[in-house]
Amino acid sequence: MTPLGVGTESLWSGVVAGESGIRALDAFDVSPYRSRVAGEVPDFRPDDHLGLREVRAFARYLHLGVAAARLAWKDAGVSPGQIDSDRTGVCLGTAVGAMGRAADDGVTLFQKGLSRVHPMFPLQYPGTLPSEVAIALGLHGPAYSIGTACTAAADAIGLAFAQVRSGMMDVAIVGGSDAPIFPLLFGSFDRMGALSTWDGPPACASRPFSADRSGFVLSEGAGVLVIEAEEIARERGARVYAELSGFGATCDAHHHLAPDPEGTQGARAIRLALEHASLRPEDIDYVNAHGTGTPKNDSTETTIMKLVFGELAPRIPVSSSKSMLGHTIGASGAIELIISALAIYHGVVPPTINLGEQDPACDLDYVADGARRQTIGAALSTSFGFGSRNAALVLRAAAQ
Amino acid sequence: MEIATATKGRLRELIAIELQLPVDEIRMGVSLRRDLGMDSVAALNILFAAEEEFEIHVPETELEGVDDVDGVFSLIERYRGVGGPAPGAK
Repeated sequence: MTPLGVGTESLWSGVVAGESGIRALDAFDVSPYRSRVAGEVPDFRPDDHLGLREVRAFARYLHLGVAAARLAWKDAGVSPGQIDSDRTGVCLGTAVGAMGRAADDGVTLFQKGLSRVHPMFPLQYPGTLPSEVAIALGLHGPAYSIGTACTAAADAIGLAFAQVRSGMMDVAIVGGSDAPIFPLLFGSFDRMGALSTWDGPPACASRPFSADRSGFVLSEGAGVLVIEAEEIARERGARVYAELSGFGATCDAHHHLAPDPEGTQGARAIRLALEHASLRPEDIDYVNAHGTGTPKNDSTETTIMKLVFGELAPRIPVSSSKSMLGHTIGASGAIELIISALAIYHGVVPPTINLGEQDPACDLDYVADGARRQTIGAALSTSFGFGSRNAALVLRAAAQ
Repeated sequence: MEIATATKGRLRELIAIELQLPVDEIRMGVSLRRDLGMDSVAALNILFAAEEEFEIHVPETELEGVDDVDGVFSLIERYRGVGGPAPGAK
């Protein structure tokens, strides 16, 4: 579920074509704010994916997340009896969760009284999404929710990966979901100076690595993948997009919001992921960057790439899918891992769009000239977030 | 009479959504609790949905003796047209 549409096909075809999902925001009055754009999931109808009871009781991030999980599960093509549902878990990230719904319900409480608040308000707690996915799909393993800001999906994937690898689960539904476009949060990000103030065509508002980048574009979305132990995937003849092979996470312990400009811990997260995958820096053929379009992220991330890859850094293609999708916050790590897996599967490096004049502090190969056909043996996906967080995931081409 | 039929029809739909049953199983006269599995939380949600739909406020204590579509319908009719702000509203 992304600003490029519902489903993986619309995401992949849009990303390869360098299309933007960013539009002028008209869901509420944006005249008080400097930012005027956002990325909403077009043509998303919650009742195509959930019962009306759930549509009414739950917040939009949950609608998006359950819908994405249903599509992922369908795509995985699991037939009854192929997997043990007792050993299949769910681990999903969300940073914002039901904050928007809770804010609205708070207004209703004070304006109209408790009787006008949906009786299921207690279900707006942060852990609802994974259990609703487990209920929807009939899965009886653990149902974890991870709330680590912009690294939430990457952390959720990494933690479930570790459990699958250690034999605690056979299969896991992993990823993240967020629906952060509501006035309280949009306005607060805007006041903080985090959002893009671009006043040209909305499709050009997300400008990672450009000299004139001014912030990220706030987007909603959900990305869900199915990971499973290799022997189970082989036995049931699953279509394998890529092998998830490494995860690393660290904390700068530096600042609530800003990354440590030295990039030491960001680089260490990537090195841990490479080590976990038994790979060397020179094995990485493509990096799907966090690439938000904020002044600090993109220069720090470039520094981190140089720390890890050294003199190889200028030769490794690095692209930001957020240039097309905006920042889906707690879903971004999963959506970008899906793009990285499809990049390996199809042998195509997706581009960065809207790279105008390149920032001298961002001097890598950002694939600004359109998608490239290229065999990718291994790919790295990075996520960095509020709270000094860093997470890295490594994928390899699946052995034939 | 037509209004009553329409109200009952819509009410059956709201009950079906909450109980996740086909609407034709929400027949007049069946016990919502014993036959269709309505628990106290589901009853609360049905009342809330009906309040939203028909723009009324019904005190939750009124749910206690209600166990079929006609009972819920009677409650709605009783509180329709009562008007005034909902208790607790400012």
